[in-house]
Amino acid sequence: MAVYVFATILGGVRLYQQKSDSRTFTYPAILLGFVVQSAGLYFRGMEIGACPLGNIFEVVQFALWSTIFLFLVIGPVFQVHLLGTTTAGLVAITGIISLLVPAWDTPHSEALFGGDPLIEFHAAVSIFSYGIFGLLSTVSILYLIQYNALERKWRSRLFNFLPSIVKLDDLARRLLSAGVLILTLAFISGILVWFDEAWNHMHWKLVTVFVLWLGYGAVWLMRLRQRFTPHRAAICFLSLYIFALFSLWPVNRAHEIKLEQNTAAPEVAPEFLHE
Amino acid sequence: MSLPRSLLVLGVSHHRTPLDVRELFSLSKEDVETLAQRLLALSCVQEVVLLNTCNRVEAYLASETEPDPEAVLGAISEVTRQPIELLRDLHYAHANSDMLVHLFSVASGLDSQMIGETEILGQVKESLTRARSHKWTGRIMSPIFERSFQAAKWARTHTGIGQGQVTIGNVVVDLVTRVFGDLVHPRILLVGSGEVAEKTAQSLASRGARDITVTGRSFDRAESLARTFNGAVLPFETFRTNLHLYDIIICSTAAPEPLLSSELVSEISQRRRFAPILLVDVAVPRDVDSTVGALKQVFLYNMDDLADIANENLRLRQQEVENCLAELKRRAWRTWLRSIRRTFGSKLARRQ
Repeated sequence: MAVYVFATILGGVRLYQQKSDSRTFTYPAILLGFVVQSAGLYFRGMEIGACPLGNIFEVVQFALWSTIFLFLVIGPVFQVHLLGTTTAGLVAITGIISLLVPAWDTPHSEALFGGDPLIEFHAAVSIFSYGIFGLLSTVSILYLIQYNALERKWRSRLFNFLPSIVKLDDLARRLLSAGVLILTLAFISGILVWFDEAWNHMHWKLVTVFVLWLGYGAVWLMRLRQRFTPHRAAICFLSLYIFALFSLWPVNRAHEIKLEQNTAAPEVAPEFLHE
Repeated sequence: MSLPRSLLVLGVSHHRTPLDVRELFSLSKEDVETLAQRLLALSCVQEVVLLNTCNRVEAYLASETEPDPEAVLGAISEVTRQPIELLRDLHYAHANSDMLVHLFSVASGLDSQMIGETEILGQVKESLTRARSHKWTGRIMSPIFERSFQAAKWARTHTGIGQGQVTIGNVVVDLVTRVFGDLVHPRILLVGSGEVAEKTAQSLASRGARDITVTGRSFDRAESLARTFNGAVLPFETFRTNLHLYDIIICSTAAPEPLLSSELVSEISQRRRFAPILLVDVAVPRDVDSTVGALKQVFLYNMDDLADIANENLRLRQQEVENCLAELKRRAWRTWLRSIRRTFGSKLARRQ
């Protein structure tokens, strides 16, 4: 997180100095942060013997790692100004919050996914889609700043360093399509895993993923049919991402309830032990 | 140069008058002639030069005795058909050496909305040429205006007011980049083929704009302008039906009423499926209804907006502007003294 903070400050300073070469400095810093974060997640994974997605802290870290991974892949292709600085900033803030709440890093069982590859696939794909939506939110923030600056005629040369709204809208559309596709995979794999259980009682995890999928899917459809302005879509993306982050709590809570139930009733099938 | 008994400039400009009021005072060619005749008909006025641009309407007067500002205001009010009370509130007046300082500042671009711009010098020259051709001016005003051209040239070559000059064209290029990213792909339509439109199009073309279409009431003029950019021409009668095809629309006609209404632009925006439109209205009176700016995905910029952006870096050049103004004041004062000296000299010679 310290490296991401450093990258954000570096990008901010270059922006303040009205230099357009912030990418030259922020990209290597973010790359370094990504390597360090990957190592951290690797060691955590080795420690628990599975993909580190057992509590809110790990989920947040994995989502942020996915966001940075996507930025590193997409950033050089789209050459979007300040995307690195904004992404690093967003990741640093969210990451620091996750570090400041010790309750989020609750200890969990080592055999996290009960050896079921479908659950592991579902978890990894879900969080990866969160990563995509994280980057989509970053793009939306940049879009809203530039849009409002143009519409309200805010006067500062700094806005010349922001990417154009057409470029940001194009990137947002691509990220939305990719995100919806990945989230659909996550939703389908989730249904396959919890199909039987979902009929018995309300499955919060599935409900939140379904609401999220419905939200992003609706915006995607409206954008595809060009019935939605990019400005309104950007506001939706931010609102949905905030909802996605808040949905981690009921997801984690469902996980804890399940663990408590399993402790009380050990006869439950082993594949549901850790969900 | 004989002694001007009294010099006076009286007018309204962007300094005290917002665009929506300023456009009420804009003068047509016929209005300029009528106003000049009215002013010359005033008892004391000997010579008149009228400067009529999108940012100012000024009457430069030379007279035997001090002209009555109220009579001048009355003439302007009559020609522009605006209440005299409004003019009383908004006008400014400078006499004698202060008038010279003002004229020198105007010609140098120091008094312009975009400080340091050069187009105003051409407009001042044009005003003098018109006044000369109609014989509204003679021995008093012509030399003074010639001095202002020299002062403007000096300011441009010896001070930094023109360095890093931000023109309307450059501001529009920045706006296009912020909306569309580059200038290669957006389709540009120039509505009106005036000087401002031409310079803006030149800036866009020099930065890579390829698809430029021109439309105007004068088809020949539009065609000639389009040819300089290898662009197309659109008949003025049908341009409204094709507006949805363009990403950037630059309006600079002399139409007295807005050409693009809110309803029309809203319809275009819907036909474009909310793709952004950049509307640049450099016309005074405005060509685009001001309510258009409230539409989503439509970015409307008028002259005042562009000038505000252009002057954003004014703070950096403030010292340069002050130095320049101080020198112009010295020059104006020398011109004033020289004119007095010569007049007294010639009067003395006549007496002897």
